[in-house]
Amino acid sequence: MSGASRGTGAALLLLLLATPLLANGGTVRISREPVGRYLISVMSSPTPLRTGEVDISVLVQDSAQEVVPGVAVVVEAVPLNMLADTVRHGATRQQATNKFFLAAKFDLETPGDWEFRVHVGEKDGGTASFQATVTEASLLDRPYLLAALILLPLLLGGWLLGRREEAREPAAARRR
Amino acid sequence: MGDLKTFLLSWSLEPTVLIGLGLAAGLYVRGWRRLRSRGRGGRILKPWRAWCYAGGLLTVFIALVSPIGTFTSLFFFMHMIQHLLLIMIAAPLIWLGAPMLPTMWAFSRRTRRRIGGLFHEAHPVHRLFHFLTRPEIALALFILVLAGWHHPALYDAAQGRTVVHDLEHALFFGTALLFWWPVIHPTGGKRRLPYGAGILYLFPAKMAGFVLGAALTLTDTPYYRTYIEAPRLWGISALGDQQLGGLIMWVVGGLLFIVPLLALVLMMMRQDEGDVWVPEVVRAREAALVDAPSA
Repeated sequence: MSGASRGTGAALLLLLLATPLLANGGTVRISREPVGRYLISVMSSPTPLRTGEVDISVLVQDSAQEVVPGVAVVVEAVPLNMLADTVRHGATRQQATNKFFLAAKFDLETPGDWEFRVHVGEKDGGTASFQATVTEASLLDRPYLLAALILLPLLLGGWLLGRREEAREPAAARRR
Repeated sequence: MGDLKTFLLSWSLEPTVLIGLGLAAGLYVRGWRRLRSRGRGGRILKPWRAWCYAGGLLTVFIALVSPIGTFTSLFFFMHMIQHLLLIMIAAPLIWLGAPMLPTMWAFSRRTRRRIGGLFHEAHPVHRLFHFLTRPEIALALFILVLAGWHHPALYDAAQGRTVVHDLEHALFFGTALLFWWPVIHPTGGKRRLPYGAGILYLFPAKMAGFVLGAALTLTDTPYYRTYIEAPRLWGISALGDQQLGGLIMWVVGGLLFIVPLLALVLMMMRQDEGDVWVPEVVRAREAALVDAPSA
């Protein structure tokens, strides 16, 4: 295999294995809800929520819908009716793709119903929450990888067959 | 942080897009160098083609990775800008870069033969591409995908769902590539349509964008649940956002069609159908056929 073929193969493999970035977006869970003196909006990604990495993004605005910087936001994932630990993470701008948002990333291993509580600010803030079902992640959630797993053996088989035929051709030519 | 600075810092460095673009650029550059090292590159591929290809890839990068891509989840008009960048700028620029030949030449002779076999007239892949790039088929697919994905049910289904959203972009970009094929052949070769017919071919697509843009602008109802529920920034309402998006499709999309229309009119006036493209094809074929499978 030439350098370009190897490079292309490696890049395609990386492409298929690459985990899509959980950009701030996805499903709107809370839209412009008053929390203390703030209006908050919350989005979650991926859609639907699956075990593994979960992104919760929070937009904090004032009543005039101007973004309020420097507000402390903590997101808490609380399991409902199941055995799992409550997880708390501070939402930060560094973790956010859209820098108007604050994002917190969770690694949720237990499927089931979860409540996400968003604590905003201190005395002038409050808490908003939403419930969501986290489903078990499966191969079907990564269709590109699934396609690769189906296609790769076929391509590899075709390539090996092609090589065998090419190896036979010169031998047959020599015999002639 | 000011709003503009915050906006400009919001990049979605999606690994799949970056790897895909890197691969497309890497293969082109490698093939280009190999052709040049054989003393053919300068004659076959003129530098302006490489610039067009680079511009096409850069446009895809801007559409998907820059803040424009990031803000598509909040604003419909950002989505319109993103789609226009992909279908009206990136797709034609990539084809103007004549990517087939340098990309093929990035590979070894054996691999080129294998890939070349797919484009042999008798091969089903060739027949499928030949069918899909028939002007009436490419035009119909382009309009169908453009109109279909703007139906609120489909549009809302795509938002936030990585796979459906990827499918939406792939269909937009894929049908745009097919759409531009009859007027800009990607080998730099003979186009499917003569200049006059190319002008007529572009009009229905321009009109489709015009009608869709007008329908989105001249309404007092926001159609898309995604943007009705989305957090609002900069005081832009869901309806205002949709009308701005419609206006972008209507006016900017219409203006972008003027560039290829003018180019085709100029080419037609020069009446040098043979001089502009064909010598490149002949030379390209001479070079490519050295290693192409025998027919």
